[in-house]
Amino acid sequence: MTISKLIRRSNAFFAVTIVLLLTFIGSCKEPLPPRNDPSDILQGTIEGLYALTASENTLKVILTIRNTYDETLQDTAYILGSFRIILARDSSYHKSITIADTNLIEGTYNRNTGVLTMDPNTIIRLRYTWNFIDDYGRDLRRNIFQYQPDPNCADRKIALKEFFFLQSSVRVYRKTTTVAPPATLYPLCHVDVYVDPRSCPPIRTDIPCE
Amino acid sequence: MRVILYSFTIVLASVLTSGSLVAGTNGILEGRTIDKQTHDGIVGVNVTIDGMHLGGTTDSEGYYQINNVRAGVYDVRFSILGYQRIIMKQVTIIPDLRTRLNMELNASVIELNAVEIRTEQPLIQRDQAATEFSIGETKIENLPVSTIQEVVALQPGTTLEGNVCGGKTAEVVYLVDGIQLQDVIGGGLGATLPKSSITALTIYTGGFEAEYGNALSGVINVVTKTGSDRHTIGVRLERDNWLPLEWNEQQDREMELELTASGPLLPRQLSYFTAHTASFSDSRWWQDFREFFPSSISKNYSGLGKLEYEMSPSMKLNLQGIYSLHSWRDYEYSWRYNLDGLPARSRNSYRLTAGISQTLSDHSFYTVSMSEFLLKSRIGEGDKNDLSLQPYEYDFFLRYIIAGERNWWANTRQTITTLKGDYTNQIGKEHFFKTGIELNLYDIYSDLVKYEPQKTYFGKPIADAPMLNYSNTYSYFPRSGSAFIQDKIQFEHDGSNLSLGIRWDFFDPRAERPIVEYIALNSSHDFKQQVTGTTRARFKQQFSPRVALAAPVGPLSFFFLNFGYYFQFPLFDYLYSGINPVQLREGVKNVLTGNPDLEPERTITWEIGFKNGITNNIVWSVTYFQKHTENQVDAKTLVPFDSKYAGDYGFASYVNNAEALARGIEFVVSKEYDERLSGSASYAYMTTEGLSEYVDQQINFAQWGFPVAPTTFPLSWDQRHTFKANIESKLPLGIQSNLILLYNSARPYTYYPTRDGFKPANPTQQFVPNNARMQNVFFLNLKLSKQFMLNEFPKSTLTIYADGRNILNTENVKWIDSNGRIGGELNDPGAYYDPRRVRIGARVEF
Repeated sequence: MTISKLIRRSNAFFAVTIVLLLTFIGSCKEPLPPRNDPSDILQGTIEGLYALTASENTLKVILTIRNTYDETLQDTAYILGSFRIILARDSSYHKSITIADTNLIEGTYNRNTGVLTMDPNTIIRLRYTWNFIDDYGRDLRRNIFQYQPDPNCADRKIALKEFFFLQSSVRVYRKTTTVAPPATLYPLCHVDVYVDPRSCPPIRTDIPCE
Repeated sequence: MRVILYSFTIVLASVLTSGSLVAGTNGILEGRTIDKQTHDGIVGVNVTIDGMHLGGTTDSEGYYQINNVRAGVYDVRFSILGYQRIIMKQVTIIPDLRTRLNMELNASVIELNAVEIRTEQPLIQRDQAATEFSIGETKIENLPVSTIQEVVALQPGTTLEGNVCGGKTAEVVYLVDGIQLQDVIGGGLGATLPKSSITALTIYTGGFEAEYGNALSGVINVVTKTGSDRHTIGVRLERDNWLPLEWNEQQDREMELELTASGPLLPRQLSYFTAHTASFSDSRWWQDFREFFPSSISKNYSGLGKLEYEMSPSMKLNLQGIYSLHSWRDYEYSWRYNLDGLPARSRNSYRLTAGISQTLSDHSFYTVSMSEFLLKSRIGEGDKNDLSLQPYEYDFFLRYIIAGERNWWANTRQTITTLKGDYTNQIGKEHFFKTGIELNLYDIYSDLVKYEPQKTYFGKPIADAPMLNYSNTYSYFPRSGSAFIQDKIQFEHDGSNLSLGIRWDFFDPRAERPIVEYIALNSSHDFKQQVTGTTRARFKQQFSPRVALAAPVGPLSFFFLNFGYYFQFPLFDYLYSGINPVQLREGVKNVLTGNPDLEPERTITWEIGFKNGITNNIVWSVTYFQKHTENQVDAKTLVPFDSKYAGDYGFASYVNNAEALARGIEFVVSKEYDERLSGSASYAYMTTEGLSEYVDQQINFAQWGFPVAPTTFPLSWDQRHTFKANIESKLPLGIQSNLILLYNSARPYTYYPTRDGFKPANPTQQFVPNNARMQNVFFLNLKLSKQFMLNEFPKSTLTIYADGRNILNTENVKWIDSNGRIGGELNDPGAYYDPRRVRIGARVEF
């Protein structure tokens, strides 16, 4: 090997080594990962149900929360939130109520210990029953609903359809984030009085009214 | 004026087939001197080894032999009236080598100046029939390594974790100056040594001789330095945190300080050597540790001291002390927000050795040594009654442990007294005979309190399940011993070597074990197991033959073959834990109990290979090996009924019921003795399969309730392809460079997914261990060093170096969870091997 070749190879090797050395002082950050607890593991949906029976004539607002996490959640329940029902054509008519564990109608809840258990893909349900009186004490059955005679039954009247926004926001556990599903628009045709089906055809409340 | 000649001389050294001359610390220097003109042997040539006060005289045919030469690098002088004197520089004596140094002398009527010739370690040991790699202190100093285990990981057929030729890491035995330095309860090396105390490291990965026992996969023989005939002192300081944390987070906040000293206390009679290291580190997890503890998390003090007294030219007395004190704290990623809930750990060991070696004649010598080794380890602080024994608390998402402590406390002690002696005799020119005996007396004590929550296979705690109790206390005094005979027969006419050896080992557990009887149930094929009492465990013994053959097939090539039975007694914890008779009578509450009747694990291994020198300094080799291991330790569930001894609930015990098979082929090419570029490269293809890869495996499968496939599977360290390279070169400006490349193909892991962490995603899927592969692993390590001469005489030097590991900062995967996620659901960064680390240091010697 000639001397010049030897020098060239040595310099090349030296240059490579310097480059390698420079990598030592580059990219010197090495942070440990931050703690990222799972978020949005509880998914909620809100729906309305008009209950018209001999003993009841109310609007029930139901919030269903599902555990979408792959683990069972178990901790002391920290159910705190609100329901809000708002008349679509006039938002000054609204009803807001605070939700607590007393609104729980479905779920594995030990009322003695306060521990709520949600296995993966299971649900809890919270419900509020509204009597159509708003936050200001105004009765929508007197002020808002516009009743028309029921052509199928002389003993009752049916109000024109009114739309209500149903909203909710609730915290289930201290360690989970607030569940706030998109608001639902619920159509309601209020009936002034329940009539026995033996006298008049029953009114279906499980389908949107016309 | 001296004339210095540098020449590359291949000296064919005849090597014992890994048979250690003095338990792997010494070698023999031999050869023949002839007249350069007449080619006749020269009688009466004085052959002396500088610094050793050892020497010999050639016989009537010109042959000489100097026995019992401590491993190291020496100058050898040849002198006789009427001939020019010659000094062979830097003759390397490596343990288990019989170095042959032939010399041609020039007749001279007048006295001429001495001629100095530099020699190198021969590349080809034509009669070496074992797979052995020897590394001297200079090489160790230049490698980017810090520990003995890291040096082992550079050799062909090994893994980063220390598996050798497909075996478990616990199958490797470590010797320091010929005496084992093992933790006999938990396994592994029993102490750390200062790196500067090592003069040679010999790694046997196959075919080791009859004098090595209690090892299945490999023998690591560490030879430490001895005193010198002039005073020397060395200081070394190394850190990886020279830059502030804000600039460089790629550090372990590590610092190491090392001191060495050696010299004569009485000229030519009494010399000393001592080395001490203090290491401090916060580990790669320092960012989490600093939230809980002050620096340093890990403290390690180790040292070695030696005295050698030459009672006479043929008799030496040596005294050696070793200490190793290590304290640290564990880190687990799921505990990162509650690190003070993990117990503090410490491990302190000491060893004192006294030995005498005497050369009886030109052809024979013996050594006798006695050593006392003490190892104490602690888990947890304070008293064991301070443990709360309450389950620790998970966070809401069952991912991190946020409160409570791990219920783990232990105090173990092991004392090993060893008496050892061996006798070596060169009988004629052909027979190199060696025999020896060893006796080990153990004092084993362990007090353990350990409660763990029951978890699923996927790592999730099982709510409301009782804690598993692993607590136990035991104290035993077992004994073991061995005797061996070996003879290496060298056939002068063709240079082939046949090595024959046989070894006898015994082990007396000196303990009792439960008697488990199998009672048939009526006329069915079912039976119940009943514990009816205890009986003394059996005395165990084993004979192990070893055969090796090496035969030259050309001037620079040879063929070799070796075959042997090897075995290893199980770790003492598998023998003794939980079988305390008092505990048994109270009702066995332990999850897993020991079995003092465990048989040794056994391996039958054979190797066949071929080595060839391409040029004076390039050699290549190919080796095929096969190793079948049986009697591997695993666990089995025993459920006794109606037993007044064992209570009314079940327990599991260790049994010998697993086996493994490892096969492979290795290619190695080496280029040495070229300052510009030298090194080696190796490629290995290896398969390792078995029925069990850790001792608790079967009981874990039973607890998890998996239907396990009844076939062998690849073990966790089964890396099919391994490539390693080491390149040494001298760069401009006198910078010494040493580059290491490590590559292995993907290792297996078990893919058995779950959706909720409690049940498998597909319950009908059969559980097959290690059914998937991870990713390939690649490391590039580099060490650069530059030496400055501070003073010519007395010689003092300053060396500055930079030691970079994983300099490309590659993310090498270490583990994957059963869902195929690297690092599991927490993205644990510990699922990757260490990222880039650079240590800068300086060493002064004077």
